[in-house]
Amino acid sequence: MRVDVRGARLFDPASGLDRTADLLIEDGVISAIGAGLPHGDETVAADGRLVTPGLCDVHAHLREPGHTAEEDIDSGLAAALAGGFTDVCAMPDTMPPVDDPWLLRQLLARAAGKPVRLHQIAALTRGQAGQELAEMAGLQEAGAIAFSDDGHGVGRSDVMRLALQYAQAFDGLIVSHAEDPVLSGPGVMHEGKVSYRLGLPGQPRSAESSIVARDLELLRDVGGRLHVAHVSARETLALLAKGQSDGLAVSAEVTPHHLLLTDEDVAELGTLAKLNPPLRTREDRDALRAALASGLVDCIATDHAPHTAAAKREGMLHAPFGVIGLETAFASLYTELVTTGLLTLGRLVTAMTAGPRRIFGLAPAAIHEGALACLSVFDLETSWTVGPGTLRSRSSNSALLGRTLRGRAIGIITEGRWHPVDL
Amino acid sequence: MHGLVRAPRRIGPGRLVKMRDLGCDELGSLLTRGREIHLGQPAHAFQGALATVFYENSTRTRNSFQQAASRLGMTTLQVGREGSSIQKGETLEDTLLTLRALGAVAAAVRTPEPGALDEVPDVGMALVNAGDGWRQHPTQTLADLLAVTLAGRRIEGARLLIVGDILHSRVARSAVDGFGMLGAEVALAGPPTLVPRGLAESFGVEAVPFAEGLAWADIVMVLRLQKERMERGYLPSLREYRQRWGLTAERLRQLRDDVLVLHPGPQNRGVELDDEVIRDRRSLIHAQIACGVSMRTALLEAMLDAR
Repeated sequence: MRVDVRGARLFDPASGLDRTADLLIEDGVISAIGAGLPHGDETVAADGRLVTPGLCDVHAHLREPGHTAEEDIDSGLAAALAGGFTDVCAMPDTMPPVDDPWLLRQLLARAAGKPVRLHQIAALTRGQAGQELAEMAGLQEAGAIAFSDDGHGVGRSDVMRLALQYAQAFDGLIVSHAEDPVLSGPGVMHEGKVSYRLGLPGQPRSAESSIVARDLELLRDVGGRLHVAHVSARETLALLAKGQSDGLAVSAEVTPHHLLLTDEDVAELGTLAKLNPPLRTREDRDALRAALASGLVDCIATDHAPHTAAAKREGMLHAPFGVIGLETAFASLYTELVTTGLLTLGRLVTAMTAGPRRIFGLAPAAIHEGALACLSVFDLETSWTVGPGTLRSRSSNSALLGRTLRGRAIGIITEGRWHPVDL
Repeated sequence: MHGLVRAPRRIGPGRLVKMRDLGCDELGSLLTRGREIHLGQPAHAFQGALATVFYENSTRTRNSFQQAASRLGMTTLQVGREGSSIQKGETLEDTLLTLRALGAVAAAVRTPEPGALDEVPDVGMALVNAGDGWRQHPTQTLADLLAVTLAGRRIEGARLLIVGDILHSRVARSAVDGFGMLGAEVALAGPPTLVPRGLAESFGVEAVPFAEGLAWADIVMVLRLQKERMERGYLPSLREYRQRWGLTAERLRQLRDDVLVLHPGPQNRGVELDDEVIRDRRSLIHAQIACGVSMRTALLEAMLDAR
C-alpha cells in the first residue's frame, strides 16, 4: 500500500522541518520527501494544507464500559479523528474502573484496527477508591501506559507515596489529579470574586496547589515519575518550576479550556463552564499560557469529558463536571492563541505531539524518511462554527458551542492509510 | 434547538431574578407604588392564580406572596418539595408549565440552586425569584428598602452595615445591589470565614471591623446565622459568635439614637441579636414583614400590568 501526499506544508518543530513538498508512504513508512514523487495507490491532494506529526491526547474520558450513553470507544475515537488526533489515551474512571488487566486488554482489543490508536491509562488504586494499590505491574504488562485515579484526587498521602515507590519496579508513570477533596469540598467553581458574586460554593486554589506541593515532596522523598494532570492554578506552575529545577521527574499538562476560559465565563456559560479543576482567573489563564510558551508545560491534553444534555441541565450545584474537547482542541488553540500571536505554531504542535508522546513513553511521531507514518493533516484557512451538528462525540457539552474557529483537521495517516474526516 | 444553549435572559417586567434586573427608575417607581399600597391604596385586580413554588422551606416569604396575591384578587396554587412531582424528577420548567395550565399567570420560585430561573425559558408567565440558594432574594430587599423609606429615611447617602454570614447570604447579595442602586453606601462585617478576603471587593464594597461599622452606620442589617454553619466548622461556637458579632443589648445601647436595625428573619434570639433589639423602637423587623406584602403586591401588579 502506497499513499502520496501532494503539496503540503510539512511541519515538524522537533526537527525544525517546515517546507512544502510531497510525501510518499510505503507500507506505513515515510519512504520519500521531495518534489515530483511518484503517485501511490491513494493520493491526498494537500496543496497548502498543514501536515504535522500525529496529535496525541493523553487525557480523554471515553466512558466505556459503563457510561456509554455519554460516549463509547467508537464515538470517542471518531471525535478524536475529527480533531486530527492519531492517538488517544483513555482515563480509567469507567464503570467498573479499569483496575483489572483483563478489562484493560478487552478495551484495547475493542479499538484494534481503528484509524485512531487507543492507549489506556489504568487505575492507580483498586476501584479508584484511593485505599489500596491496583495491580499496577500486571496492568502495565497488559498495556497500561500510566496510572491515575483521575476524577478525584488521591487524598491519602501514604497511598500516593506507596504508588510512587511501587511504580519504580517497572518505571511506571503516575498521573495526579491534584485535588484535596476536603478543601475542594462542595465547590462547583473557582473560589474567588466570581463565585462570591454568583453565590456558588467555590474550590480554593490551594485545593490544587497544596496537593502538588505534597506530591513533589513525596517525589523528592521516594523517587518515581509524576505527571500533573490539568493544571489550573498559577501557584502550581511555580511549584513545578521549582521541582523541575531540583531535578525531580515531574511533568504537567494544560487543557484547552483552562488556556481559553476563566471563571468569568461561568456567569454566561453556566454548567458548560463547570469544570474540575475549575476555570480560574485571568491571571491564572495567562500564567498557563506563558508556561506553555516557555516549555515549563510541554503537554496539552483535552480532558474530554462527555456528559448528556440532561445531566448538564441539572444546574450548577448538581450537574457533573467537564466538557468535551477532542474535536475543538487544535482548532480552538490555533484560533485563539496562534493566529493572535500569543503562541507559536511550533509550540502548539510540539505540546500536542512530541511533548505528550515523550512524557507517556509512546512511539515518537516524526516527519523524515524512514519514520513510521503517523501524521495529522489540517486546513488552516477554513472557518467553522462549533454546533451540536458538527460534533461526532455522542455528547455535545462543549464550552465552545457557537464559537467560530479557524483551522480544521481534514484527516490523519496511521497504519499506512489515509483516513479522511467526513465533513 | 439544542438543550444546552440558553434562552436569552429576559430583563424587565417579565422576570425578576436579581435586583439588577430592575433599572434604577423601575426600582424607584416600585417603591413609590409599594408605599401607596402600604398606605391603603387599592391594588389593581387580576384574573388567574399566583403559584408559589418552594423547593426550600419558607413561612414568611411564602405567606407574604400569598397575601400579595389576595390583595390583587388572585387565587394561589402551591407547590412544595414534599410529595410533589419535583421529587419525582420533574424539571422546574415542566412544573411551571403545569401550573400555567392550571391557571397560574405568575409564579414565585424558591430553589436552592443559584440562577435556576435563568435556565428556564419563557413559560408565558411572570416569574419572581423568591430566593435562589446563596445568590439573590430581590423581594426581601424591596421590603427592606420600603421599610427604611417609611421610617422617614432617604436611601441615597445612607450608610448600611450588613453583619453576619455574608458568604452564604442571598439577602446580603440583593441588599448590596438594591441599596447601592439607590445611592446608599454599604459595608460588610462578620467572621473572616464567612466574609473571606476578596468577597467585599467582589461586591464593590468594603469589609470593616464590626465595632467600626457600628459606629459608622445609619442602618444595621443583622443576618440570620444558620446553625449549620457551626456544624461545617465555620465557627467554633454560637456563644463566641454572639460575643464578637452579635447585636447584643450592650452594643444596642451604644448605637446612635437614629440608627435603624433590620433583620430578614427568622431571628435566632440570643445569637445574632438579643431580645432587646427586637423590642427596640429602632428595630424595623416587623415593619419589614408588612412591607414585604406591600412590595410583593406592587411588584406583581407591575409585572402583570405590563403583560
